[in-house]
Amino acid sequence: MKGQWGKLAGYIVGTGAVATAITLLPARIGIDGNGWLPDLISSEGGAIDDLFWGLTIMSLVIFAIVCGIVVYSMVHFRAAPGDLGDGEHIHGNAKMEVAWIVIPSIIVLVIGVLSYVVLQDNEVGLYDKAAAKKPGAAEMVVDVRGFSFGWAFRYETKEGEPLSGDEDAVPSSELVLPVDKVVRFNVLSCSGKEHLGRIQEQVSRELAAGDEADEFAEIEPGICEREWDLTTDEDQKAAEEDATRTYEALMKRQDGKQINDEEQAVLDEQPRFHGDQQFIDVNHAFWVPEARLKIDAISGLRTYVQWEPNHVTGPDDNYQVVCAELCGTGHNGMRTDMCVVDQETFDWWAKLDEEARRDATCTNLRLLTCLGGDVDDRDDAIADVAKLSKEDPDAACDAVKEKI
Amino acid sequence: MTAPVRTETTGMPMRPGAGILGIVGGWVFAAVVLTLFRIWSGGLDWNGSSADWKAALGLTGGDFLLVSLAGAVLGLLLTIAGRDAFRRHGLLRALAMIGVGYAVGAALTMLVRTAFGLVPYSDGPVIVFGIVTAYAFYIAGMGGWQSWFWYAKGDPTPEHEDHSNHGARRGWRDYFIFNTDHKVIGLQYLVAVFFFMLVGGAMAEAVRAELANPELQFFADGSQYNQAMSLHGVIMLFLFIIPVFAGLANYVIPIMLGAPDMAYPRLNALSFWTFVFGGCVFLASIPIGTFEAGWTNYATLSSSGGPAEVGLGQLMWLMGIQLVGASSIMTAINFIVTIVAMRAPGMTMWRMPLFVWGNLTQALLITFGTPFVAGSQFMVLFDLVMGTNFFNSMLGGDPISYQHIFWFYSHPAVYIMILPGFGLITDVITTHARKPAFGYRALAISTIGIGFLGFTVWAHHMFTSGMAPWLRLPMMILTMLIAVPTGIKVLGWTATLWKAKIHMTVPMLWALGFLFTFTCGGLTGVMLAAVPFDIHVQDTYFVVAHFHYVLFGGSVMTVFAGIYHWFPKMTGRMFDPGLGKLHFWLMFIGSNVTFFPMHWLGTLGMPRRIADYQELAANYPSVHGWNAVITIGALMQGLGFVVFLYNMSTSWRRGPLAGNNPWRSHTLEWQVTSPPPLFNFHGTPVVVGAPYDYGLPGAKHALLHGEPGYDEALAEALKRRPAAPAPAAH
Repeated sequence: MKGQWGKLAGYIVGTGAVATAITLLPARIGIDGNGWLPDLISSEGGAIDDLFWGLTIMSLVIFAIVCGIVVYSMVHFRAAPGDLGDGEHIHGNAKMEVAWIVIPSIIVLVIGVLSYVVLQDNEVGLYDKAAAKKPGAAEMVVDVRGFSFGWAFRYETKEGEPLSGDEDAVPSSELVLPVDKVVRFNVLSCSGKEHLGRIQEQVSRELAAGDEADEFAEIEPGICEREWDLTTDEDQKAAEEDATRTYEALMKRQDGKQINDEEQAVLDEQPRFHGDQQFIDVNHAFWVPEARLKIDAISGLRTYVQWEPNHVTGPDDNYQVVCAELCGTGHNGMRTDMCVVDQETFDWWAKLDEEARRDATCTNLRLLTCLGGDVDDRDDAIADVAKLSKEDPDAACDAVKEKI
Repeated sequence: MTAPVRTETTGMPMRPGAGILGIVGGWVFAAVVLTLFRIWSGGLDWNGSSADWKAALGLTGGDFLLVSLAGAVLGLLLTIAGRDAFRRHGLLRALAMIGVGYAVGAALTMLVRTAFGLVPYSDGPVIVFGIVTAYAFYIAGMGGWQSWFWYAKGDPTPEHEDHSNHGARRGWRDYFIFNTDHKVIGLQYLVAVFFFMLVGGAMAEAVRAELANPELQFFADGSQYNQAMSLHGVIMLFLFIIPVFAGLANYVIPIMLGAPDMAYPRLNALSFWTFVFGGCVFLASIPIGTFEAGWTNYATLSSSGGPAEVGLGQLMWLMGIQLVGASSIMTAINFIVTIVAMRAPGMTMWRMPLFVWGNLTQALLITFGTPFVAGSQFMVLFDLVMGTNFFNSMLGGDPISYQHIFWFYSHPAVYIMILPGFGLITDVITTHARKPAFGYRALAISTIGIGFLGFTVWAHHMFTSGMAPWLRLPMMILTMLIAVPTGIKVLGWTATLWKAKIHMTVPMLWALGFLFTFTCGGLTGVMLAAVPFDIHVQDTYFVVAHFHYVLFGGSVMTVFAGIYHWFPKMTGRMFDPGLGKLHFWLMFIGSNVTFFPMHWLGTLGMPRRIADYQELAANYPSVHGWNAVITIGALMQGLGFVVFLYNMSTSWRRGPLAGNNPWRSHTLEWQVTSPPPLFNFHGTPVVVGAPYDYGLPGAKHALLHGEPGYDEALAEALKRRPAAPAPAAH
């Protein structure tokens, strides 16, 4: 009897070893990151990765116990050929069942509490305004707009003032972040002209069909803005009336009735996207896999996520902002570059005008790090890097150092 | 149409030319009538251009194509079957009635629109009401409304006595009528769902062909990929996993309970034929460009813009899901009543086989849950067709509310898809391991527990959706707690194997395979419940891996275990065990090769539902390699499925006779002949003991009418429950 339990333990260990070997396969074959997870560039991601590994080890142990018993039974309790007898008549075991309820309950509660602690640590001041001044709370804000199929980013201070000091600053189509600053992302799904019109050139390469790019130019401004500017009752009332007028005109047209000029004007005011009736964009999700955090972009509702980029991205760190929520034909192409730069470079970058930003793409900003921190004139340096990377798209650090 | 078709009704051999003539004639007739109608209604401004001619021939415009296809099918049927076939209820008449019904619904809608001063033709309303009336006419063509209609009028309903629509006494033809025999309906379901699985599997292979390489190579654009991916999901969930258990349960459960049939045989037939119609509505959307918002059909991707914007396929999905959902609810009600009221004397709740427990819980979940998914899809339909604003935030709607309503059904739906499998696997393991179920009552109660908890965790699908942040904590804890009753089940199965006498039969292989894959899927479920980790892998391949381990490694494995377990009962013949094992190993290895690497892709950052991953593969080159491996795994599974179909179809006709109880099982369905007699039992059986008393000498679960000791047992059982159902008429 004693030998039986020893053997069983052997089976459990063996099953666990096989399962662990298979699970860790990617660390042996095709090494990327640390085998399972991509590189890590956020302070918040460390705890998430630890949680992940903890959960993986727990899963492997439980898998080994359960499947070790199954494998043991398969080997040792097989009926001999021609044996028509029955197994032992065991109905159950109340003690074992109670243990099987109590132990897993404790395990999952521990996991639940640990997960919640990680969640709380990662969201200081994100939903709780009272904690907004605590360490770990956001130090700056990026207004993220997802649209079909691209991203737009506008930079604000914690108080909501535009970083560049310019209310009408052009949003960036790439995400550039300063290192070691907790950034809150205010995320929204929205197709407004002010965000899209002038960056359509950059996003048109993402589109499946070339002719769709023209439609971006027709997008009228501001409908998404109106959603959260309803601070007074008058605003609310005006918005409701506006919506009613639009709706009536729309229904009239849908039913094939003639609409008058006034109604046409109401309809013309609405932002247009692919179709006549689409005022709003579909759901997207804002995700940087290397930061480990994501949140959906919903039309009409701001959502929030925050994290602290904790190291500057070098020339080989081609990280991207990814759309994780199915949003239609161009979903797979809804990606844009992201990069983390040092604070001085960021301050310089944030004040660049539209023209100058064409050179200061993430690809070039990453190459700029090759020159080290002490760049005297960033305007000149980035122009040189841009020229270099245009000539040689695969330019590496060596080339940058050599030529500049 | 290569060989002459002989029909019994006309007795006249048909030549292939006549069939082709029928197709062309029907097509042209339907196209001409509709073109004239559209010109009359102002929907088409005829100027003789090639576009007009194309439209007239049904080559452009979704509804035209559909109606012309219907016309072609009608023409073909008219030609090959002759008019006689349409004089009585049956599939031919029903198919013809679909065309008639669609035309009536469309015409009525256009008349009403005209009366209100609107343009007569509009895609949305005409197609929606066309499908509704087509369905009603089709069931009428099957004869499905007949006796209810008589009953409503106060006329006698003779078919209650004559049983001409019951059983398969005339061979295969009886499978194409409005048959009320639960055994026929069970087989109808099983054949239909495996046909749908073939289509859904083909879609999966297409998706894998696309993802084998990073660039777009198999599909023309992302839209086509989204269509294939959406169809795969919808077909596998709504046309395979949920109805396949309706099929198995339909066949087995009334016999397990000692009942002559289901409680409502006509409702049962209505469920099946509604399901087939709903499924065909999904499939009919393929040629006109099907839905592309995934099986979750999230608003506002599904609900923004008019019907022309999101495609007619979206309308077809919205109608199809209503029909399939209605069928599911009808079946569930039928099972609840059958299990509660139709048990043989002595069959107490604690003597029911666990498949019955699983099915009862599933039926309760369907009855409570399915109206929610129906509601959410009605809202999308109304947003699309009627211009309501449930999900349009610009006009006050809330896109997140869609997700709440949808998941309030669709999370319990996961248990709808697996609880019968949990029960079934217990039946298989106890029988083939020759041991009682370990902790029978704990297994039954944990089924109910999972069902109850299943309704409290829906928002764990929405941790990144932007819903109220406080909801995440309770949803996380409750989700993790589901691991407790599920753990009880795993303990029950593993402990049943301990000191058992395991026979490595084909059903047992599937059951053991299930233990490995389901354990893996369950554990990643606990991992995903941890909010911080879920935020990283939400909407990635990690989730895809998890739910394929649960639904393929869980549900589908149990389905195959059940199919092989009961195949001898259903057909009276034994399958080829060698091919069965080949099928198992191809599927087991194939599914692990397919789904396990998906975990790595997900954590590495590959989002789900993408057709092209060039940029990801450029950053992380191994993504390409693993995707290629996954495609090989998918091909292995496809091969396994072909082996399965071959094994089933040949063994059904030519397999060796299996005998009544090849597995020496104790439960009631094995005590009758294979296949069972028309009303299952000659006289009501009486249940005298537990269902799985293996290893107890002389233990009996039930006594058939006429067995020694039957009368005493019956008297004893009737003392406990006097209101036993009357013995069957035959």
